[in-house]
This record gives sequence, C-alpha cells and structure tokens, in this order.
Amino acid sequence: MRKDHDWGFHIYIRGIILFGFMLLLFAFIASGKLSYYIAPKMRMFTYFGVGVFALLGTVQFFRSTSKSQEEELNCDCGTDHRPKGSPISQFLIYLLFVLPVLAGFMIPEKALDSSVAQKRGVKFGSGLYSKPDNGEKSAENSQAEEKEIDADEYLKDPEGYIKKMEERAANEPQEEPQEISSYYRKTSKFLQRQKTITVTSENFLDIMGVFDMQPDPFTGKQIKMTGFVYREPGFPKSQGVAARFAMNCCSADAAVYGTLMKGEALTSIKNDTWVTVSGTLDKTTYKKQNVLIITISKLKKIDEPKEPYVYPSVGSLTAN
Amino acid sequence: MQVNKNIGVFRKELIGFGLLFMFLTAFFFMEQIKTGPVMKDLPGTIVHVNTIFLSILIEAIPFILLGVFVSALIQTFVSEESLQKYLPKNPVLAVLPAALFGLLAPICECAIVPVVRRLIKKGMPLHIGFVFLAAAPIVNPVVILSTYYAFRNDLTILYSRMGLGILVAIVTGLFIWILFRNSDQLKWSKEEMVSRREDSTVKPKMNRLKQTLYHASDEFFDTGKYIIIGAFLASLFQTLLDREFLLSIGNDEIRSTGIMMGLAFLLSVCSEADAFIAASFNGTFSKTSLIAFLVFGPMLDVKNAIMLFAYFKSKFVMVFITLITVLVFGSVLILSHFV
Repeated sequence: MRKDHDWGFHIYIRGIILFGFMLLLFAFIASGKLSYYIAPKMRMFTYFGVGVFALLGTVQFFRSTSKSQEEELNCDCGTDHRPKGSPISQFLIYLLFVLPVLAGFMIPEKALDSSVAQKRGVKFGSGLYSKPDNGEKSAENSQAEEKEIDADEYLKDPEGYIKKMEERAANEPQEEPQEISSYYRKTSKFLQRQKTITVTSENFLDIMGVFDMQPDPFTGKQIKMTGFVYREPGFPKSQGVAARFAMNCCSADAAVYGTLMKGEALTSIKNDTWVTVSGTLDKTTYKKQNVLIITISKLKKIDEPKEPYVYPSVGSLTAN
Repeated sequence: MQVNKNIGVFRKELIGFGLLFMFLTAFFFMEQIKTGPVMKDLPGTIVHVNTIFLSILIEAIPFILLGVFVSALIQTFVSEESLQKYLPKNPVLAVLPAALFGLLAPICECAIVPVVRRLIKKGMPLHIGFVFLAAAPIVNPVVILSTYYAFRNDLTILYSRMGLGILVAIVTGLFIWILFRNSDQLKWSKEEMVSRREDSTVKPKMNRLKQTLYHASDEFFDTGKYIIIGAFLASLFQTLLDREFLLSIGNDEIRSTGIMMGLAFLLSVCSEADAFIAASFNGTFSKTSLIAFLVFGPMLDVKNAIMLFAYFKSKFVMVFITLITVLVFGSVLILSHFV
C-alpha cells in the first residue's frame, strides 16, 4: 500500500477525464453534431452517458479530496485498480483517454462521401450491390462454363450431379425479387398513384426499397430527389448516382443507397456535390439487374443538408 | 522533505488544472477550432477515420458504462454463496441455461467481457462463464429484433443465427469443460492474490452505493482503454479496406465464409447493428457466409479479443479463439448444404 498519495492523484486525474467525456458528449448534443456520429434512435443512450459521466466525475472529485480512511479510496472488490507500470506507460494510458476527447473537440465533422462510398459499394435501389467489374467477369465466365451440362459427369454420377446443380442454383443470386412485404406493397401502391414522386429524407429508404423490388410500374414517372453525386469507376461524366448514406446505429454501419441518373447537366458536376434533380424514370440494366435511371430534366446544386444521413423509417421497421 | 512534498503536490495540481483548462477551452471554442485554418484542411481520410472512430466510441460508451455498472452491482450485491446456490449443480446441464440467459440480460459484446470476468471471479465455473460470453451477444432480444428487421425477407438467416449461436456457444463450453475443467484462467496480479486470500477476513464495510460508484469508474478506466484501441483499429479498417477487393477474392463458399468471418472480426460492429452491415452484403456474398458473419462477429472481434487477452491467460484465450473459429466455420459449411 505504498504511494497512496499517488493513487489519490490518479483518482483526481480520472475525475477530470470523466468530466472531459461528459463535456464532449454534451457539446455534440448541444451543437447537433451528434447526428454525424449516431442515429437518432441511439441518442437516448448518449443522454444516459452524459448523466453517468457527470455522476462518476463528481464522485471521483469528492473521492480524491476525501480526508477519511485510506480504504475510502478503494472500491473493495479485491482487484487492484491502481495503474501499474512506469510513469511513462501510465501517462500513455491516460493519453489514450484524453486523445478521443480532444479529437472530438478539434477535428471537424464531415459527412461520409464518395471516397467512402467507393470502398463500401453503392446499393442501387436497396438490394443490388455494385460489384467489381473484373471480379464479376471472371466469376461469370467460370459460371457460364460450369452451367453447361457436363454429360460425362452426369453419366458417372447422376444423383450427385443433380444435387450439385441444385446446390449451385440455390447459391445463385435470385433473379426475381423476393416477395414484397405488405409495408412496401402499400408504399408502392401509394407511389404509383403520385404524378411526381418526391423523395425526401424521411421516405428515401422506403422509395429506394420499392424501386428495387418492383421497378416496372415506375417507368415514365416524374421524380424529384436529393443526394450527392457519386460515380462508379468507369462511369461517363454524364452519368452518376444520386446517393445518400443510410445509418442504422452509427456511421460505422452507414451504407450508400441511391438511384442512377444521366443527363448532360451532370457533366460539369463534380463528385460529392449535393444536387436536387428532377427528371423521368426509365428502365435500364446495370450489371445484369433491372434498375431505374433518372433522365435529368432539371438539376440544381444545393448545400449539404444539415442532416446528410437518412434513417430507416419507423414504418419499415415495425410493419411487416 | 516538507518542501519537496509541497512542490510535488503543486505540480500535480498544475497537471490537473492544465488538463481541465484544456478541456474547457476546447469545449467553449469548439466551433472556432473546427473551422480554423489547420483543422479545416485536414485530409479527408483522417476526418473519416476520426468520424468513424468517435461514432463507434460514442455508440459503445453507454453500453460499456451499463456493463461496468452491472459488473459493479454484481461485485457489490451478489455474494459468492448466492451465486453458488442458483447455479445448476450439473456442470454439463448448466450450459443450456447459460446459453439462454442472454434473453433476460441483454448485454452486447462491448460489455460482456468485464461482466463475465466478474462472474468468474465470484465463483461461476469457467466454462459456464464462456458459454454466456459467447451466446449472450447473439441470443438477446435486441439482436433478435435487429436481425429480424434486416432480414425480414429471409427468416432462415435469423433462425440460423440464433441456432448456431446457441450451438457453438454450448459446444465451446463443453470443450472448455473437458480441456480446462474449472481451473483458474484469470490473470491475477500479485496484489489481487494477496487480497483474495484476505477476502475471508472482515473488512470495514463502506456505503454500498459509494462502493458501486467507485468501482464503476475504476472499471471504466480498466476496460475503456481496450475499447478505445479496438475502436481505432476498426475505424482504420472501415475507412481503408476496399470491399471490392474482398469481393474479387471471395467467390467460393469456403473463401467467402472465411472472408466474412475475418471482416466480422476486423469491423467490430456492435452486435445490435451488425445485421444491417450483413444485409448490405446480401446478394454479393452467399447467405451462409452472412450467417458466419452474424455468428462469429458477436463472439469475437478486435476489441473483445484485446480485452480477453488482458483479463485471461493467453493460452486459454488462444484455445477459446481457435474453438470458436473452427466451430463457426465448420457448422456454417455444414449448414450451407441445407439452406
């Protein structure tokens, strides 16, 4: 039990760090920057975090100035919580806690953009995931070769061969969209009655979902939507995706959703520029899937929205 | 001597005030710093790594605090005797309730390691603790719900995730029972060994609430450092890892399963949100490799592994990691013949 004085000092420093975490979370909540990090449904947990940090920080402060017995300092759990190691390693451990707080205060937030989108891949509609060209091609070729019925193999082992084919068929991506849940069917019906489909932050994911599941009823319809411009490698300048990141819990799980668009107006627009486009929906095939593409009639540059992310709607989560 | 001591005290006060002053300045001038000349021109990659790092941290911290509190409450209010009383006596039969206990105690994988360590210290058998550790982050109401939302079109994924989660946890537990029985695999420091022996002696009891709070903040600093390192590594992978590269190498069942398990380990997404990540791979990777992702990730990831190595003996942790990896991989490949 040597150097108890030091332990008191550690308790004091820890109290200040806990206070720092509380300040950071509070600043994020107060400034609205929290929406860059986590989804609205997770916010209540952050409020809880602020409360707990405030409580623990305050308790630490009184604990460090406590004039009473030495055992007051310890939590009596049989574990030695006192930091071990040299002063330098102790310093580094505290630095580990201080750095995130300072990084949070100092490094600016930026919504995830096309550099991340390219790494994560974009979902057109909501089901089709963009695949790498070269990888897909080689996979296709080999699949095409395999698909041809191998008579020799069949004769040798008919049962085994059929089983193999069935397995392969089961593993292949389904061409037909799976059956649509009643929520999306309702949304689809509603959208089909609209003359112009206006995509907002709230209905973004629902509409992308419907477009993915049944693109056909929407060809020829007018649409207006907002997103940042993203181009897959190899896209011409006049083609792009109106994309947005969707967040479920935090930005680590954010995925990119969007609709293809084309038009001369797009040629001068750089990637990551936020735009509102109006146009007509057409059908096209992209990477062997039927998808919708907007033929742009009007394109307007806009500032990045205050809430750049979209979230799953309550309806799509609760209804079935 | 007295003078020296006073200088020491003065220096410490100065460090404390300096730190506090730094935090407060940063707090009040946050906008100015963030839009200032140096910070505004940071490269995009650094900004993205930082955003994802902090978002994992901000998301995980409330659950860590929750876990720390549960652990502190167990420490303060659950005695060794009562734990012994409620645990089933048969070590083999006890694995089933341990695998299902997560339904009542929804703890995600960020919080589970300190809780299990605490329970084992309190006398829970080693293998039961690890069945709970492996199963609770999967078999729990929040995870069931989020998996259901993410894969509503294909409920076999939900059923397979839960089924395999329970199965792998139980089999792992039985292997641990066979290999280690109830040997002590915790890392104890010298001081702990001393105080453990003293545990039977009567200690001055202090206010239980105060004790819980003290314990909670001490444990936050014990656990927090591993979460911070883990979150940072995961944010690097998240920003720099190219999914196209993964897709180009993962085109058969065995390799894509391996890749999705590796990804689950590296990305370290909370088990409550990982179903949505898995859904974003739907159609690119096979269904069974998604199941591997969903079963493996909650049981083992970067931040968990770092914590396990810190709290348990390395050899034991290696065996545990091997067991989980082999069992998930094997069971998923068997499953691929049925779904």
